[in-house]
Amino acid sequence: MKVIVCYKIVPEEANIEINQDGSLSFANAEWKLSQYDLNAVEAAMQLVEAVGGSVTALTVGDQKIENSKLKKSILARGPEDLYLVKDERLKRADTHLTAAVLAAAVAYIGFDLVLCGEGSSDFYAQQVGIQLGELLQVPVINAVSKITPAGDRLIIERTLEDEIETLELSLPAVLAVTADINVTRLPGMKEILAAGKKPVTEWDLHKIGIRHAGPRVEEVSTLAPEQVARKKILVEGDSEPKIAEFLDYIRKELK
Amino acid sequence: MAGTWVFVEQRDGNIRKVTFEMLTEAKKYGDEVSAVVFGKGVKGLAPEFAKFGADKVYAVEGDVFADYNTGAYVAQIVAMINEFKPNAVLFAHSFNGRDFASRLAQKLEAGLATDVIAAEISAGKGLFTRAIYAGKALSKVEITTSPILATIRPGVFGVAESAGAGAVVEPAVAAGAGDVYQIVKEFKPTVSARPELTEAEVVVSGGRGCKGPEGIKIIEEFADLLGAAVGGSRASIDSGWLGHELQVGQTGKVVNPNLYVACGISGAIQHLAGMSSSKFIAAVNTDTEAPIFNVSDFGVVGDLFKVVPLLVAELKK
Repeated sequence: MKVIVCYKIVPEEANIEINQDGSLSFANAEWKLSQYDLNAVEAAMQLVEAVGGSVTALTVGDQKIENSKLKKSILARGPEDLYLVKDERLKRADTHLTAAVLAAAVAYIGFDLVLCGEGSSDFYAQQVGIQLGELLQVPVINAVSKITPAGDRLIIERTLEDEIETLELSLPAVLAVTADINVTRLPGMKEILAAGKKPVTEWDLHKIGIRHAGPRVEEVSTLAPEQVARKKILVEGDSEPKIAEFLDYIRKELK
Repeated sequence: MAGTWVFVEQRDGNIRKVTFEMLTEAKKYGDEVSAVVFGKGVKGLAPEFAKFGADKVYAVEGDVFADYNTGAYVAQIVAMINEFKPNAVLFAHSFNGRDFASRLAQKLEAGLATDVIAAEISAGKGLFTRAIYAGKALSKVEITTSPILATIRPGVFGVAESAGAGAVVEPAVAAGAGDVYQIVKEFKPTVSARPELTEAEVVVSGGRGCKGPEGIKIIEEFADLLGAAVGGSRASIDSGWLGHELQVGQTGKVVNPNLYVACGISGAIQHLAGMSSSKFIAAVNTDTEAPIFNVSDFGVVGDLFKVVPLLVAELKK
């Protein structure tokens, strides 16, 4: 089975700081692999370990995807090669553009299965995987919490709001996997060293035949939310008056 | 191009509350409001939507629509959009809602705003607010492609009844709606007598501090006395103490209850993204420095194994 895993480079959201005027500062936010894409990589590795085949990693973006530490980091997790589609016009790509670029790239590479994370940990729009499948005109499904190979088909479990759906898909297909589909492995020193020797191919938009790179959703503003005024009452211990005070608040909110 | 459509989130005739939230919100735009419902035996639900102001109810009946399946649903709604030309279509930001809307947006080459928490829709233009960077920022986006598409976060918009005509329209079943490439084998309800997390008025959550199933039992007893839903942080879900469907956070469920009680949860940014818009937040944690206390209205620095049973004992009185 030829599996392609898509991943995104995002800023470490915990280290994004808020400026006085409500704008965001990324000065201390290092770039990292989007956390939930790592679950997709792990799912791909487990699948290929079970049925054989290969895993290829793919990302699209501006020059920051060149970061050599991050290239090593993704390859150390198992994929045997890496494709980058690098173009400055992808700096603020919306989901449609991202999906269009991924679609063109995976068509060039060739695949049986494309795996994506459910959403990127920065914007978490949860659209790209689905749109990629639609563009490729292959079966696509989100919220995948379990993948079981069954011959040339896959048995998929989806954990929905209040039920688990089991369905069967034919290949080729695109799946967006949830963050709890697996627990990701941490690569060891050996894997990290080997990662540096794996092949990396770099393309630009022209190479994969993308001419137009405009967004369909326009960003108007990005600001820190107004802080909800929290009471921030803090009591210590479990003495009777404190428990009584706690209960008073609970009862008030229950009404 | 006129009218706001609300795609009904239902299963076997059980309508999810977010549907009424979307109808109530759509009423504010002053345009005609229609509920769009796909399924089997769904026509009879029309009065339910009329109660919340639906002027029209587009009901599509058929075996192929009984359970959500992307191929059939997208083919059907594309045909309807081409025929009736709505200005905007709203979907619930549920797993199926976002699957459906994303696929539709790509098909129509239209923009889509997902997980929307504030909306302004006028003729040909939608202005939407959504949380990004795990809730650190709010992003305002504008969509001018047609129709305007958005998925709406459950529990954010209020519900208000207002009488609508609820006139039933039965569009033809679209060609291509029968092309199903995925076979649904089974639905297994994640059974719980407790309210569903995204619809609950009260949520009690347990994290790493629960230390194991015993700790979870304590918070479950507490939750049941409050009629609350039970949730968990990533730590308690990954440890297998609670089912995956109960994770509160960016990658799990986003909840907006009146009261959220976090027990033994430190408050990682991914968890805060799923609960920080709750109206009143209470927390129990042994660590005074836990980030959860920064977003709490009432916090107890203490051991949940002592504090929660005391609350339970008092509530039982």
